[in-house]
Amino acid sequence: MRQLRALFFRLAALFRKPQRDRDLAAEMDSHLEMHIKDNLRSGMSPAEARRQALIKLGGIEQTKEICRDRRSLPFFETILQDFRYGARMLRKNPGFTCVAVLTLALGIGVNTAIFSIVNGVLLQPLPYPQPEQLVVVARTAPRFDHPVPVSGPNFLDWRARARQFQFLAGFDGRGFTVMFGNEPENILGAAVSPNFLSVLEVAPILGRDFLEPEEHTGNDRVALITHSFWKKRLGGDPGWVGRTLTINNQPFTVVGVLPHDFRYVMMGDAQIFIPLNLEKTLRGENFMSVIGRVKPGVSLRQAQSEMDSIARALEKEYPADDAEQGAIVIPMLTRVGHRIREALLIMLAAVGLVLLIACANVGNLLLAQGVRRRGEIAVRSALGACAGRLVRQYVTESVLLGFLGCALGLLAGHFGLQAFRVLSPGNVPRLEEVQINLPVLLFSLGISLVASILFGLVPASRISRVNLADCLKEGSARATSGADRGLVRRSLVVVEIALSLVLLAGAGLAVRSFIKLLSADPGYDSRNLLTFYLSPLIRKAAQAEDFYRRVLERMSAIPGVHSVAMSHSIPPGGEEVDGPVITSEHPDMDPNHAPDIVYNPISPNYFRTMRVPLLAGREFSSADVHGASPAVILNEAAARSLFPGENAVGLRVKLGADNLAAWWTIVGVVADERYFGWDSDRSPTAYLPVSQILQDNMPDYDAAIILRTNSEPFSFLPAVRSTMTSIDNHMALLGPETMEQRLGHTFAPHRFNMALLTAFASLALLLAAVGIYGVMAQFVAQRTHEIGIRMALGARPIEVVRLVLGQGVRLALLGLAIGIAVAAAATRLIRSLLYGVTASDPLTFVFVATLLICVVLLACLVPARRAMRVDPIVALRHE
Amino acid sequence: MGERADVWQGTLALMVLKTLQALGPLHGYGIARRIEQTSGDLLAVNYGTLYPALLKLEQEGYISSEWGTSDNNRKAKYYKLTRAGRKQLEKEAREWEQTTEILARFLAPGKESA
Repeated sequence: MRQLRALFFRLAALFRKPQRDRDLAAEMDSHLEMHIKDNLRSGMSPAEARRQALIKLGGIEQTKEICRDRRSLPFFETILQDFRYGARMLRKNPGFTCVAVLTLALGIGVNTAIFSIVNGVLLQPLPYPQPEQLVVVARTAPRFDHPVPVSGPNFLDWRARARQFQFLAGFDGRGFTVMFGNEPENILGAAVSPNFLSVLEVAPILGRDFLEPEEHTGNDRVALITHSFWKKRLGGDPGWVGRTLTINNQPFTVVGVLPHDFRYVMMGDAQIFIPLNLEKTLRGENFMSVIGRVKPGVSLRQAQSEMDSIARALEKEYPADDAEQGAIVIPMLTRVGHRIREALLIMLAAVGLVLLIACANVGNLLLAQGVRRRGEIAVRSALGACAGRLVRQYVTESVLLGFLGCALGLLAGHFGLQAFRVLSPGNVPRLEEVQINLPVLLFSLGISLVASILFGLVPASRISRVNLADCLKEGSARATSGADRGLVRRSLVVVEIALSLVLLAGAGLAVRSFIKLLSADPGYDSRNLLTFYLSPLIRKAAQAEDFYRRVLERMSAIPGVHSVAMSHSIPPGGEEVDGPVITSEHPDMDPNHAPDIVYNPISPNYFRTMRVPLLAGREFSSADVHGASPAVILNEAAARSLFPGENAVGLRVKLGADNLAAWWTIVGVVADERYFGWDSDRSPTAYLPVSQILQDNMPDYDAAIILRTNSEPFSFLPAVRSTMTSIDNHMALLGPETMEQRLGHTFAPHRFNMALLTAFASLALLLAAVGIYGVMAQFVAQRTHEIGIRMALGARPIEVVRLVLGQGVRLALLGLAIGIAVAAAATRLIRSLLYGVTASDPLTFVFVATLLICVVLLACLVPARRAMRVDPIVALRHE
Repeated sequence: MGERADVWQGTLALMVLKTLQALGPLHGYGIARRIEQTSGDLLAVNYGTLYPALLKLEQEGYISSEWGTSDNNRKAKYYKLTRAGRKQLEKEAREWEQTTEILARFLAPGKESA
């Protein structure tokens, strides 16, 4: 306690030093005066009196010195001194300071921005109370290597049996058609179990939460809405609680409004929540996700082992649907970021490299500065400064640079983050939670500190080898080059070039992937196609057939529309519906181990509308209806994998689409369409006639409508809208887009990754160019004398240029060799971001290496020209 | 600073506190003279070492200082005991007595057996 008090006073004494010094001096004076007076009184001569008093005191300056050490903290005091001195040095060299601080700010800025995203998306706890208890429970099945959706009955059994969980809730993301006056509009939302909010520990700010009975028919016409939906779409009127909203043509009572900061992290844009009614769902129908909150103190392992035993029990009870189906418990935080994690970590690594290059540059600048300061250092050590003190001086200066860089870098990071927000293709969850908060600040400060110690130690390491006598003798700032100081600087440049090459290779591969994507053939003609979804509120198959028949007829009557088709999903990125397929050649195959196939129910003119080439057999016709022999068309990928080397037409398959009930005859084979984005594989696909698939009481009768038009598809939208209204005035066109827009969505993340990597690589290239320019300029400056002699002896300018360029190219080649070796290993880590190129694509490597050499040559050109223009007379006289 | 100096600093602090308790507010020179006289001139150290000790005691809050005028109208910095200082003095004096008592027993073993 007392020590703390003393420490506080000593810290305080770091300030107002002059006054404290005056105080101490006055005290010493008064002490001496009193002592001398006493001595005089005892009969000494004045001189003797003073001498004795001083002896007794032990020296004024010595006493002051020990008092000063005790008064304050000498260690801190010297650090402050170093800081003041460092600040003076930086002020005296504004050019150097600006370049160094800007370089650092760039490096720290990009790191701050990317880390803030990594922190906000992957690290920061979820925005709910006790977030560590939140988990996602998903299904595992032997046919999938990733967690998959769950069926209603299985979820209900999980919920009834699990003891380690406080709550388990089901979630099914949906698009709702909401009526605003007479205007239907598509609003994203979800059907959720009534305890959904209890899992997240969130309560409505207005009204109430769902009640338990509200998941059953008769009570389930209630809705919770988000704060922003309430404010923006309903005018923020508190009276809305208790009123009805027309959702999917049904009246739903709004029972509550969610808090303004509430957002469901797994589906950030969900605005309306209705109860999830699971009464009519089947055990084999896997469509929903499950979230849960484990009891306090229950570990993930305990929860997992409980779910394992529940899944095993269900396997025995329902072998038809649940054989070999497992359950996996995943922390919600892990699940939220799982799609973006790898890309983000790659970006973090990339900006880390940028920072290293920035450090190498600043280290180089400091070294060049150090050469100029050798005289000063020599004087200081001659006056008694020990090596440690001098190193500390250097490190303090670089830490000061680091802090300046950090401050500016935070600003840069802030703008970088804004830019990221605007440009990001919307595939980053929780982006609205990302901010430059305390952990990010600490991270930035931390990396600035580490960086400044890194580059500060470079010149400091030289001090111990400074030969005092030589430096003082030379006197001039233009000290001759110690061969080995050049070595450090050259090594730094080699490292910079190597690191830049790694980044350039990564960016180059991303660019190549993107070009490949753009030129990839989606398998159909994507021009002049207008697409949208319809979600009719129909319960009977006959109604649905009638509805879609009218839609197709009326839409194809619109002038300028060539043909209209419907399908369950639109490539790319359509809704994934897949299941096992069993061939007539292996009819006894276990469905759990059967190959997987995507189903897409389509209308007869689908292939004509999409312009997918028919390779064998026939297309569907109006004869393929309910009651007729089941017909299926396979794509090439399916035909080849199921019936290798055979003509598939005429053969038969059983499909999960109808629970493997009937044998379907293959009537045709078509070319592959890419379903799940251009970057996906060509999935084996089975096309089924819609009319043979429709049944009564299906969960929904949603479908996509595709129109082939003779000109710009969007110009047809008004006509399509009014046609739709004339068929059913409550029906919204969901997500109308041209096919090219849809394709754009699938490559937007690629474009974004490419743009980011390219930006970082360009930054690296720029920094490396500045670095090599600095070293070469120094090289020329140091050799002016030598060049002068060479020229005086008859060297031609071109030979001088060759000398300089040769030096630069040697460094570059060494850097390239190292860089290519490192990049070959490192680019393997970014494989997941690539499409259509291998991680060691030779063309990319040759290209980026050539680019790097060109930039190095450019950076050497200016110093080379300067060398060429050296006037031998001036150079020689200078010495 | 060697060990001897540490011991000196420790005892010096006690002497300073005792002096201030006995004489009331006093300047550095006065404290030094008083300690020298009380010790019967047995302690002959540099007066200079007194000042860091005073500084330390002040930082720890046992004494406080104030500029004032001496008997012969001279400006001097006066130190005086604080309440915490008074308590500390009692505590340290007690401890010191204990220590010397124990040491005395060790150093005079003859008496112990008698």
